[in-house]
Amino acid sequence: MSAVSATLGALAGALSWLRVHDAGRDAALGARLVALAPWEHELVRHLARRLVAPDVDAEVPLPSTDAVGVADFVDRWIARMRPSMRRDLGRLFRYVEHVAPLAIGHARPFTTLDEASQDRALAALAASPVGDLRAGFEGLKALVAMGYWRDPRTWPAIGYPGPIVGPAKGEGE
Amino acid sequence: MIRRGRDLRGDVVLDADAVVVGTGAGGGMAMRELARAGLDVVALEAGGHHGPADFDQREESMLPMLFEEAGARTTHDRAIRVLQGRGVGGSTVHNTNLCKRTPPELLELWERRHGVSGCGPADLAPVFDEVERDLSVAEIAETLRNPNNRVLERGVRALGVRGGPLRHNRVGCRQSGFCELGCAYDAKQNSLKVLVPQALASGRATLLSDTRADRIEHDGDGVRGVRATACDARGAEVASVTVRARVVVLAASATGSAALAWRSALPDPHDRLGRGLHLHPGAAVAGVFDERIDGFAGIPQSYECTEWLDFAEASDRRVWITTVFAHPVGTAAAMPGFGAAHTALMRQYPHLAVLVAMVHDRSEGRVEIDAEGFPVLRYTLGLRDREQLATGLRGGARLLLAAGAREVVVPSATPLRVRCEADLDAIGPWLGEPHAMPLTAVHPMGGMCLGDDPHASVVASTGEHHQVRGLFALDASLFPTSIGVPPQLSIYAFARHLARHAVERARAR
Repeated sequence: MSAVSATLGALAGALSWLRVHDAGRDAALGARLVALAPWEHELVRHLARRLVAPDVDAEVPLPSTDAVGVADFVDRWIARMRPSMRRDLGRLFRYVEHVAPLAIGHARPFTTLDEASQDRALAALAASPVGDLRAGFEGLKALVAMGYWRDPRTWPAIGYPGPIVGPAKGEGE
Repeated sequence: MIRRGRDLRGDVVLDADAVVVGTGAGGGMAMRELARAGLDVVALEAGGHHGPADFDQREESMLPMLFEEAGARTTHDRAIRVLQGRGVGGSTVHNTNLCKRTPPELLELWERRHGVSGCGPADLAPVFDEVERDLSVAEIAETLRNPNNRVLERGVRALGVRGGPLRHNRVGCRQSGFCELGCAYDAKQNSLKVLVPQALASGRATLLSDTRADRIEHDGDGVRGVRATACDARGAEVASVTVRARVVVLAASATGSAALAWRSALPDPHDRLGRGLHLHPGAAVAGVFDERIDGFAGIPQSYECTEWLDFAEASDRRVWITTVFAHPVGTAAAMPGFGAAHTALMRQYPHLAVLVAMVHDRSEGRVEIDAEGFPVLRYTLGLRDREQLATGLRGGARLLLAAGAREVVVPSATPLRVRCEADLDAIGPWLGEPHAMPLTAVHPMGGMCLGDDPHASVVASTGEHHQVRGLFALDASLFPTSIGVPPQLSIYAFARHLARHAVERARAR
């Protein structure tokens, strides 16, 4: 077990008894998800909104993270990760949802916090004295960045003309 | 002939004179040299076989196709991202075509301090000449320098420091700027385009893609072949593959070759396997300019600054500066902060010029494996190297300011903004501590180091394993130290230089 696994496991393992999903509510969503549990999908939606925070009022607006489908992309992306990485990521999700809010004085799950509180919880995570948690923050940021900035609808706002060739019909699609 | 492992129906047993594991710079060269010598060769490649028509210039599809772990491989503590190629051609498919020879000072040092023989500057010079001819290596013309590289050149001239143009192996380049995602125009004169086809054209070589080498078969004295698993596109096992051969060449990269050696329980009486891992860790600084730079377009990395780099044994100038630029996903992941501030930085994207400071590292790590047999890269950047990194980041910031940047962004966890000389004081060795800022390494080296003393090395100066006859390492795992320059040309040259010993061994047994 890596140091990351050990730390996140220790921090989040105690919370494993928590009921982290609602089977009735999530049945339809769960049926189409590949790797994420419904509650994880919801968490990624919240994370994407705060980490990317598109400025939709700008002259060339950016699409919302939900419009781009960041959480759905992340679901498909992590399905290809090897099992140990998926385990670590699952622990990190559990930590962010249930433990990270404690660092800013909230006992409620991350997904129930208002936006300002979510930002403070993420800032605390990014500046955590625990290196593994800072690495976890960067990992989450990279995941949602991939899910968002890969989308051609985001490119005009940053002056990126995009690929020159058309999409290939390869295995990476 | 190329066969895709995913297409195999049923288990396969093949006989050959030699089996080559990996098809990057080292494997492609070894495969060609063995085949040209009239030997029957089977090459095993864990990744797929892709060509220009597959390279669609999109990060989300090319990262899984061309990089180990979809670009998410890191050191053990996740402090340094380690980008390594996957698929036929290995890292030569996604690299930026930089070609620099191994510094002669280091070749001499390896002879003097590491017991390497027959690999001195005079031995290698004609090999480099030949490889450079094979791969059409040439200096990038000044007229082809893109704005990001012009910024570096301008900074070098303004500061009066040492710098110059770089040489690449590209022919027919369309200057699209998508080199790190594979070349859709087939301009890279690399293992995929040049060496593997030459090996196959000999009629003596077979390449199995999508086929992961699991274990080297040996009896403690000599090799018997390789056991492997053919996989489908999702990595699920399709068939077992056994290649019986008198010679096995490891060319699966510094991490992959050592990991395979670990999985194979090779004799290691002096506890040397996996040691001597170097990474060339690097970090970037971004200059914000009033004018558009469009760093994503044009030929990347055509100019360098070597002011803070020399190769004398006791040198404390061990950092190389060149340009670097990523497409939107990579840039977003590297930019500091999150939320509105991060988005504001992303809106500066076309106005950024980015430089990378790469450390010619003395920190030594070790390649190990986890319970699943995957490589674990134990590596921590030592204080001296963190100081070098800081020197490089300060140098990069100075170059950008001298070139006209209105500010320089250091993407530390708490972002630093450098607008004048006084601001540079905030850049220190602390930035090299784990998770202080994004560190990336694209040049893993070592792990099966070269040298004639079995107490201090894994393979002899011939490239052959000290304890297991017929087993050769012909990739970056050979290098006894960091080499301080992009390694592809050195890997090609060492594989070319030492492959003759593998040929002799295959013929002799």
